[in-house]
Amino acid sequence: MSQKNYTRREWLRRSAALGAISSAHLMLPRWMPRMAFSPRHQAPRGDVLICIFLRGGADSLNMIVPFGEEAYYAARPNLAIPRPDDNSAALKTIDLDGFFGLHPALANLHPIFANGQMKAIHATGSPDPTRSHFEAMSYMEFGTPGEKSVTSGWIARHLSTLDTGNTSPVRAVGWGTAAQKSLAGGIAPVVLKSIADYHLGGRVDVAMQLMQSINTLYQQDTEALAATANATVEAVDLIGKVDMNQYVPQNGAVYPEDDFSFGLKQTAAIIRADMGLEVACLDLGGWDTHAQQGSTEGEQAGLMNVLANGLAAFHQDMGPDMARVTVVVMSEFGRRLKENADIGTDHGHGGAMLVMSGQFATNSPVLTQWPGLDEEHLDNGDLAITIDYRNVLAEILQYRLNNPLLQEVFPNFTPEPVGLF
Amino acid sequence: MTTLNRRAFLKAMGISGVAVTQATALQEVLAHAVSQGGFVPTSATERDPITHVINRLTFGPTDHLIRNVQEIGVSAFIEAQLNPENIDDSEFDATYGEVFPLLNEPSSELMITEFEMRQQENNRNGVAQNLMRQLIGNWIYRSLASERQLHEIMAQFWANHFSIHTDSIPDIFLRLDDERNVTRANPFGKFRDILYASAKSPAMLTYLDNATSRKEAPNENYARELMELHTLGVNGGYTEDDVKAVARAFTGWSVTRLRFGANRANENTEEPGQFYFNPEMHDTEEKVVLGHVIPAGGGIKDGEMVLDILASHPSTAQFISTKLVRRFVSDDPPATLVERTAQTYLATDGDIRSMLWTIFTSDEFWNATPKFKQPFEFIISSLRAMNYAPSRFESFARWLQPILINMGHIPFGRPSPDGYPDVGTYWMSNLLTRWNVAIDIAHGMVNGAQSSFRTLLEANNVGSDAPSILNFVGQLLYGRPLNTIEMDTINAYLSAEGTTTETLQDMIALMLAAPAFQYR
Repeated sequence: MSQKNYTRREWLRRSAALGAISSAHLMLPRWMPRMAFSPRHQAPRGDVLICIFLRGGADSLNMIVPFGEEAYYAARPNLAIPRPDDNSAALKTIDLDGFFGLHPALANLHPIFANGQMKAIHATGSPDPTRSHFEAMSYMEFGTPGEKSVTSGWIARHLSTLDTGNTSPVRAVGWGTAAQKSLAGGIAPVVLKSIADYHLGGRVDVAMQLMQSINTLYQQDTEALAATANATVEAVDLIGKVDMNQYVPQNGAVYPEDDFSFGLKQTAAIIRADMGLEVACLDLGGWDTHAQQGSTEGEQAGLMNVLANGLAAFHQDMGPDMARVTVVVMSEFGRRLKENADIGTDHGHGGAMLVMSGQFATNSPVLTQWPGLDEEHLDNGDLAITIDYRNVLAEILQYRLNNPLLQEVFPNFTPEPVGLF
Repeated sequence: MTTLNRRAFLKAMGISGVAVTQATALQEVLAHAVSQGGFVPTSATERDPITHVINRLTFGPTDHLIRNVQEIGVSAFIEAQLNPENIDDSEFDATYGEVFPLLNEPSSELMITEFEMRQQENNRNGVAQNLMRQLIGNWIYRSLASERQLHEIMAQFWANHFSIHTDSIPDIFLRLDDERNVTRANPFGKFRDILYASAKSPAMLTYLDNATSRKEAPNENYARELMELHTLGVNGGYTEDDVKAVARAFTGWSVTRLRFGANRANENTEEPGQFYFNPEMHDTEEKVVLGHVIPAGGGIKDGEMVLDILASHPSTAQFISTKLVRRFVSDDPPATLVERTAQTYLATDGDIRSMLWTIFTSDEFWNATPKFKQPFEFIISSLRAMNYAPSRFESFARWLQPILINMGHIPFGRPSPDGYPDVGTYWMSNLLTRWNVAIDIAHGMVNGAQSSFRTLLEANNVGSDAPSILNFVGQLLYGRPLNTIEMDTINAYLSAEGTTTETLQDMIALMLAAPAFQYR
C-alpha cells in the first residue's frame, strides 16, 4: 500500500494522543505482554457461550429462595416468598432440594432443573466489597475485581487466547446498542439489535462498493476502529444471509414477544445458520428494585417471568443442540437481606448465578457453600460470598469452551472447583 | 466580557499563576499554543483554531458559523458562548419558538389537563405523549439551530449528569420541571445551585425512590447515587455508613400527590407534583456524614447540610472537573488540567462559567486531539453541516427517533442513573447505523426536513464537478483539505460507479461516514 507511511504516522499520532483508547483496544491488554509473543492455545471450538447479564443487582434471595432459613422470613415480612408447604399461599416457592426453591415466576425453568440441564450457584459473586452498580459491573465484566487498570473484558480475553481456527466475523455478538464490557478490548464483536436491520441502506446495487469504500477510509484510523469497521463489513455480508422471517424455532418452541426473547431467538437463528458464533452477550435490565419490588407478584416477578420464559423457549428450541450450548446468567450483586420500608431492597453483596447446559457432572440443582443468613454470617447485612463468580466462569471456560488458559483470562486468580462439569 | 464574574475569574487565574485580564490571557495562550505548534495547520491532518473551537463548543460547523467565528475571532466567540444571554437568538425563536408550546406550561396545569382528558374522553396518552416528543424535539432543534450552542451543550451535560430515565418516573410532567428548574435554569451557574435544584426535583426524587423513603427503613437509592454520581464520585471517600446516614438525612424529602385519587395522595397540598418536606417520614435523630455531625431535630436542614457538605468537598471539585474536562478536552482527562479546574471550582464556590474558562484557555484544550462523537452529536453535526432545517416535526421525529434508539442514545432514555458514557470506546462498537445515517442525510432522505445544501454551494460559487465539491465539503466537515487516502478512495468509487447526481451524493455520504467526521 503506497500510503503505508502515512497510515502509520496517522495511527501513531492518534494513539499517542488518545492513549486510553488505543491501549484499551489493542488486541491484548498491556498487563499480558507475554501473550503478545506466545502462541494462543489451539483447540477445537467448544460450546457456544451465551452470557446473560441482569443489570441493576438482581435480588437472588427471592429468585433461588432459601426457604429452609428462618432468618430469611424474619428479615422480609412483606417480601419473602412463601415456603413450598405453605398451604395458605396461592403462589409459593417451588422446591428444588428441600432447602432452596424457585420463585413461582421462574416456574418455566423448573422442568429444565428437573431434567438436569440447569444449575443454580448460590452465595456467589465478586469479592470486591463495592455496592456501586457501575463499579461492580465493570469489575465483574472485566473479570478483575478491585483491579482498576484492566479495561478489557473476560470474554474478550478468552477469545484472544483461544485459537479455534475460527476466522468468522461473528465469533462474538453483543446484542444491543453498544458492546458489553465483557467483550471490550479484543476481537471486534458484532453489535446489533436486529438481524433484519443489519444492512447498509441506500441503493442496493452500490451498497457493497460503498461499504468497501467506507471500510478503506477506516483503515487509516486507530487499529481498533479499523478492526471494527472491517468486522462490520464482513458481518453485514454474513448476517445478511440469515432471514429471521424464515426462521422457525424447533421442537414447538414459541418465543415471547419481548426484546430479551428476541435476542435469544436471533441467537438461536445464528447458531442454526452455523456461521462461527462462539459467544453472545445479552442484557436484561430493571433489577434495581429499591421500591415496589414485590413478592410473589410485582416488578421483580415480572422480570423473572421475562427471564424464565425466554430461557425456556430457547431451551426448547435448541433441544438436542443444547449439547453444544452453555448459558450463564449473572448480576453485579445481590440485594440486602432486610427489606426496606418501600416494598423493596437496597444494594447487597452475595447473589446467585444460573448455568444452563446440555450436561453437568452433578445431580444437585443448587451448588453452594451456604454461609447462612444469621446476623453473624452476613457481610454488612448482606449474603456473604463463598464462591467467587470466576470459579464458575473458569469451569465453563475449561470444560465447555476448551480454554485452559485461565490465568490469562482471570489474572492473579487461582480458580477452585465448583463441581459443575 | 460583561457578565462573566470578573473577580471569580481573576481569582482562578491567580491560582494558575496567570494574573492577567481575560482577553490577553487568551491571546497569550493562543500565542503559546502556536509557538508549540499545537494547532498550526502544518499538514492536511491538523486543524486550525476556528475548526477546533467550533467542534468543541458547538454541535458542529456550519458555513454560517465558520464565517461568524472568522469575523469575530476565536476569543470573542468563546466569550459570547459563555454569555448566551448576550447572543441574539431571535431567528431561532422566530422559526421554532412556537413548535413546542407545551414546554411553556406549568407542569401542574398539564397534569390536571391530562387527568381531565382521561376522565372525559378516556384519552390515555394525550398530553403526556405529546410532551415527551416536545421535550426531545426541543433538545434536537436547539442543538441543530440555536446560536446559543454552548448553552445547549451544557444543559444537556447537566441532564446527563443528573440523569433521569423518563420511562422510570411515575409522571412525565415531572421531567418538564426538571428541565426548567435543574438542567436549563442556569447551566453556567454555581454547581451548588444546580445540585440543590436537582435534590428538590420531583423527577429525581421519584426516579431514585427518595419520595417514598421513610425513617423506619430508609431507601438508600438516592443517597448512594447523590454521592457516587452527582458529587463525590465512586472513589470520593464516602463509606457504606455515609450512604446509610445520608439516606436518613433525606427521609421526608418527598413529592406532593402525583395521581388524583391515588392512595399516596397528600390532599392538603393544592398543586400536584411539587417538592415538599414531610416531617412524619423524617428521621429526627443525629447523623454523621463524612465526619460532620448533623444535629438531631434539623428537619429539612439535614438534607441541605448534606448538600452543602458535598458541594464544598474537594472530591466534588475533582469529580465535576474531570467530567467537564472529559467532555471538552479528552476521553482521558489530563490530570494537570483537571487539577487546575478543580482549583477554580474551590476558589469560586463551584462557578461553572469560571471552570469552563479555565478549560478553554488551557494548553490542554488547544492541543487536544479529536474526540469520538457520541451518536447524537454525529447526527446533529451531519445535519448542521448539510444545512438541514426541519419543517415538519412529526415526520422529522419519525425519521430520527428510531435512529437514536438504534444507536442507544435517545434523550432521556439512559436506563441507569449514571448517564450516557462520555468516552469514545463505548460508542465505537456500533458503526453501521452511523453509515446509514450518512447515506440518508447525503441523499436528502430525511423526512420532515429540507437541506439547502445546493444553495450553499451556489452561494460559495462551488463548481458542480466532484473535485470542487470535495474541496468545499472537506473544508466544511473536517476543516482541512482531504488527505490522500480520502481523495483516492472517493475517486476510486466515482470511477467505478460513474459521476451522476446520485454518486455525488454517495461521495458526500462517504465523507460524512468517514472516520474524520466521527471525531470532533
